[in-house]
Amino acid sequence: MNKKSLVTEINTEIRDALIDEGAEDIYKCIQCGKCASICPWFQVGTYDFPVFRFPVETALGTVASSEEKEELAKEVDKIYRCVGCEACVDQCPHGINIPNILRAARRILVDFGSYPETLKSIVLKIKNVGNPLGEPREKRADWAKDLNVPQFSRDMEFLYFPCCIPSYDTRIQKVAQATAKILETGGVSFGILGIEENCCGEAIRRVGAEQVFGDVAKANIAKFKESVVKKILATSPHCYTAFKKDYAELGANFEVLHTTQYFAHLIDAGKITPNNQFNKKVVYHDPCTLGRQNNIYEEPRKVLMSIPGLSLVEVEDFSRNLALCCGAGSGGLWIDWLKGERIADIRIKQLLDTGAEVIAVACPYCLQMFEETIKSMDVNIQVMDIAEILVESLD
Amino acid sequence: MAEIFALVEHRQGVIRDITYELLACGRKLAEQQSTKLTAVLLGYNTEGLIEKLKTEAHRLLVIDNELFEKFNSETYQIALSEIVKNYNPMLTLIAHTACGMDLCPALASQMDMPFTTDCLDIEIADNKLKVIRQVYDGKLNTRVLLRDNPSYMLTLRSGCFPGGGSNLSAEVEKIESPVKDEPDYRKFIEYIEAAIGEVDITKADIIIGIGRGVREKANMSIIEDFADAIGGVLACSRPVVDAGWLPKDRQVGSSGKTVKPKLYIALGISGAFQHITGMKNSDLIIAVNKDPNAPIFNEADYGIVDDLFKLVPLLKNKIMEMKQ
Repeated sequence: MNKKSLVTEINTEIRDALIDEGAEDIYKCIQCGKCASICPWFQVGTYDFPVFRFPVETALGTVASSEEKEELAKEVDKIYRCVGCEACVDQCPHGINIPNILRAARRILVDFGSYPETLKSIVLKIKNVGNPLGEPREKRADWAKDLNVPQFSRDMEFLYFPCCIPSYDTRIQKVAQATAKILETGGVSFGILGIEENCCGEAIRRVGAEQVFGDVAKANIAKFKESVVKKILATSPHCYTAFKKDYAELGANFEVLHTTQYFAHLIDAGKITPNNQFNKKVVYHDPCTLGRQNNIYEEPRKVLMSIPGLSLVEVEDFSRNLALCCGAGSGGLWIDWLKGERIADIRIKQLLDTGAEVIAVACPYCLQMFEETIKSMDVNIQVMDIAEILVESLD
Repeated sequence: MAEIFALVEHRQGVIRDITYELLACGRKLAEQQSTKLTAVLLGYNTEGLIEKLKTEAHRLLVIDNELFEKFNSETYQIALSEIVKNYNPMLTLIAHTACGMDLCPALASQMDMPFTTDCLDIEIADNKLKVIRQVYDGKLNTRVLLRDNPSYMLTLRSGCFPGGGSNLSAEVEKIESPVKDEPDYRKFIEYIEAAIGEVDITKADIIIGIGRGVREKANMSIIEDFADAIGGVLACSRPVVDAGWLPKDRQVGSSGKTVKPKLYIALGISGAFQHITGMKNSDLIIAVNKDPNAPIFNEADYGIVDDLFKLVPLLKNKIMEMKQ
């Protein structure tokens, strides 16, 4: 017989610390379990991630409270499983932000240095060289060296902000390059910060590194103000949400557009016209950060539907606000879960079931996650950013 | 002129390679300073070891006692402090190994002697001792000047001085052990061998990194033969672990290991940034990939656009030829 006491003493110290760090929603939870029904880990099915228990565990102060090393490591692993897709927030009848509850726990783990080594490394690299890849600042504008992209100046309408991965990764640089070409074709007044650009810091805030995020964000805000930036165009929904929501918490107020929004506008206004045929069946994957979290569902579809020959299909049941995450959010891009425990694999299967030849994405994280996981899946499907598809159809 | 001393490190009856490097370093310094090199051997049944060391130094100072059959830094410290006190060498060299680091700091502290660890190079000029050692995780070399003292102590990193090639003829001097009993607060218990088959890829000089381009498990033998020929260890990107061809501890990248070998040969790896992060600081990178647009070529010092299965056997044969 299990002699373990069923009565748990409330650890008020942990509880209060978590509430201080932003877990104040916990008492709204009625344990209905709707969050668990939509959580990506439930769909993966091979890893036990009882998302509905986090509010209660927080209220009891039992989160990351184990004094036994191996147990604590398991708890830390669990806390870093949340990919911040906010599907649970979307479903919760009380709108509880469970990712924020987990973020509170992460902040405490970061303060104690007890978080995954791979994430420590990206936090450090962003702090030291302004990007999570540890690449030198001098190479940050290399993606644009064969293009005619000017340095941003105050008389320009837009600051184009590709951020880190589209700046450095030679595969994803193609997205930034396509975007610059589209903007140039549309006669848009825009420039880049080039080697003066810094990571937006979105990922490390969700990892719990609040202090480094604060420093990064304040430096960016100061840089934008000094450069007299008014409107920002972001390739990554993660930058979009950082500028729009996270920086707003620090008092910043910049107008931000995701590139797909502005592409749709350019098409509407007749500034660009997709002419070349793209004769393929395309499925659009809603990035969580763009769709569910910022309510941008229509513009990416509008851009795709304006391309001649392109046939757009949808994932049955799991589209728009019910779209499954790629698994890259909140640090997931950097954590390598075992084969069989990958959210991206489940999403790829859903996308494949549509019979599409191309997966269209609107986020560099999704692009990276899908292309990487496909390498281990023995399937044949192409992943492209909307900017890459659009640029092919322009003359 | 005071002499230079070097401590012999041995384990289970075998002199460890680092000892020959210490002695090579000691000979070089002794020659410069017109003095002599003494190898200090603390052991038990030392005849075999003495034979091996005779050509390596001008003198061999030996304590042959059961207490020194196994390494115990406490007994070593007592013995060495007596030796250094009696012979007054200008410099005592100790290996920068787990044993050396167990012993040397405590010994230097006990004798109030200037001391530094993990030295890459040593220079003596105008009776001042300067060493080169690394800081910031190996990113910078610093030159360190030790405070003036008649005698110094330091630990030397392995691989900095090529050992061997000496034909001295040492005079052997045996002395009594100043230690009579193993201290009861610290005793040698047992050697525990590392499990065979585990390879630490972060320590390898040559790494053959393989990716999805290997295509199927049956092809692994071609790659393994090549790795054996060139003396490299196998590492990989994530799809290879996913396929179960190599264990997770061979994965290079942000979620695997970070490596910095002298040579990294990337075979059939496209080069996602998660992988690049883990290997971009390798001294020399050679990439082989069929796709000329593979991102790995941006990191590579040399790139070959071709089928790795055409190239690898040719390379292997060439290496075998050169070896003969």
